[in-house]
Amino acid sequence: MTLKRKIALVDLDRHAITIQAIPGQWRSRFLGGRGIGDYLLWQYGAMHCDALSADNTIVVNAGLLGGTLAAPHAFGTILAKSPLTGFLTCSSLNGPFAAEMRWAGFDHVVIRGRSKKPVFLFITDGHIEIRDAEQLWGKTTRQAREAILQTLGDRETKTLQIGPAGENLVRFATVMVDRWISAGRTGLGAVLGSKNIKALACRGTGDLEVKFPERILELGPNLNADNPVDAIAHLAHENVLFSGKTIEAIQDLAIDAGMDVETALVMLQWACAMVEKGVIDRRHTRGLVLDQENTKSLKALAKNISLGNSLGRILGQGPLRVADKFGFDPMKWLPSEKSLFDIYSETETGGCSSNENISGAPTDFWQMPGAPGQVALEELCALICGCLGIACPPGIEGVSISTVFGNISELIRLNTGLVFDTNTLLTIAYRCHALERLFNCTVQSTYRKQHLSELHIDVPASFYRSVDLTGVEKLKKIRLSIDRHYRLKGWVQNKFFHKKVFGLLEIEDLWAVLRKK
Amino acid sequence: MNARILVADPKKCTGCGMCEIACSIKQTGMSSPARSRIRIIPWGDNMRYLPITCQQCEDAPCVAVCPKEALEHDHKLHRVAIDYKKCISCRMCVAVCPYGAMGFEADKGRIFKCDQCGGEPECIHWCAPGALTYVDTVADNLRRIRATARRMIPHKIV
Repeated sequence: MTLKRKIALVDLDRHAITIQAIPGQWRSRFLGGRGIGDYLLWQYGAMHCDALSADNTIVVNAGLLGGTLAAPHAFGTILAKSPLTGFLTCSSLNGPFAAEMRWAGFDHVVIRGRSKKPVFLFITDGHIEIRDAEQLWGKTTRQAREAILQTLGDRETKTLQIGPAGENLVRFATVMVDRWISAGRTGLGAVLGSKNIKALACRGTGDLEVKFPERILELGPNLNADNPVDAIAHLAHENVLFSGKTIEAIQDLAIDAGMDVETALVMLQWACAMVEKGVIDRRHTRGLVLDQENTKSLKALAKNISLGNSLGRILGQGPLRVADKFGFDPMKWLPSEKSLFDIYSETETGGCSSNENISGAPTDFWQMPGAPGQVALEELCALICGCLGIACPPGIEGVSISTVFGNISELIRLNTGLVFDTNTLLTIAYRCHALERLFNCTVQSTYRKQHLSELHIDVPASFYRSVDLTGVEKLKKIRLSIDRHYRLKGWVQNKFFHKKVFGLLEIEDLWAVLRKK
Repeated sequence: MNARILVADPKKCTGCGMCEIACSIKQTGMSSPARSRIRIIPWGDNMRYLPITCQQCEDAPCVAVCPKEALEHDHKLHRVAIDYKKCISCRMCVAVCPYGAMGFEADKGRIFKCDQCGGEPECIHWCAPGALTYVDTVADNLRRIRATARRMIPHKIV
């Protein structure tokens, strides 16, 4: 059955793997995918830990409808505490990995601890092996994938691997799904690297029973409007001024190194600006002549970032940690204030994607500052789609909640036989959203004590001060929009929730966990 | 009626795998690419994919090798069909198929191959990029002839 998938708990400290069934009750509370992933992160994660320590937990999820005609190669999700933002990051894994996990019998893989030496996980029909990856360490993402396929002798194997950037704990290191698809731009590659995991490889040949196959085939491709390939080729570089040739060169290098292309480009441009203004000198660059026109030196610096060498080690920590070293004043030379938000936030669509950002603000508020209600609906819709592992329906603007969630409800019924009405789905989405928010609110208290004290979950004035030199009015509007959005959702700044929200959550079992942590 | 064939265009295939899942659901009621009669083969490092399925060969090795004559040409639909009443699941056909387009379901103990869904292949309905088509051989030949002719005729005349 589509519901009979397992959870694998991988303990890297002891090299032990425990496999358990997914309780039916979890389905009714969290559906699957991102929802159950959130719950697992709460159960097994250490929220106050350093994101790059062995205590951080990473959860790889396949959605409830992954591997069906509703979402053959759509979205899995990968969840962990982000080393860049310090908050929970949920990033979409586009590509076939999640569906393969379901055919291999697993919906969730929870990875804890740290292996003493480099390893990769091989997930195959009903079991998981921890295999040696000493030979893979140091290889680029593409080389590592090729080596794994050759070792396993099956080119149908789907992989998820990190490059040198992840190994060297660059805080915007990504994980690469198969060859080209990157995920986890807020440093999930570094989280895997910190655990000495080079890759996850998956090969599944099992069956997924669907409840009403004839009806699904009758409905035909109109069943969904998901085109996974569109999402793969999403790379926008609106924040940088480099030439096309330079961007292409850096992009190739970043994909091989397994780091976020957009962030790497912004960091390089910023480094050029800081050199021009004299903040960075030759001592920092070790003789490298940084110039926007000089592709060779930019490539060398990008490589240094991925390897954690000299200035690259500092730049690999992300803009706000760089500001800790060089002061907040140079932040005015960032390509734009939007580029800063783009680095620290992630959107649901695109090759490198996720949900929550530093502010806990609406995901696409840059595009829709005047429509918090619409944004809230889109967020809830994105959450349900994350639980199901399907692409968010395109163009839900102006479409009623009942239509959007009614269609989703029918997809679930046809494929799994589970019946959820619109209200139940909305409640599940809200519950999952609240879990993520609660996680972020909880880590916030510790986070403030660390050196990134300028960050604040509710976008404080101090944060504005760091960027307001380029757009005070715009940021004020965004702040107002965020306030309206918060009111709509029942969030309260600096407190967890309105009292009435607690009743909806049905997560009493986590209070004990919360108290312990 | 002219013969119709399933044509796969690798230039259009995006490797989304919808055809594999639709095929397995149609044939077995389950989503299982391992049981699909059509398979997507990725190659190179350039996101290229080629859908492979039974070519319904006229001089079919599977038909020739079958000791029980369980595989035979269905001239009405221009395909090679399996008669499960005669089949003894010796898997000689699986071993001999040059395309690897015949499979064996161990749990059911029987062979399988593309039967073109009785003349209405399910896979083509789900192929969004249009990489899979089920075409009349004569019409398809004419389409190719026209395309070649366009390339051959000097630009000025056109």
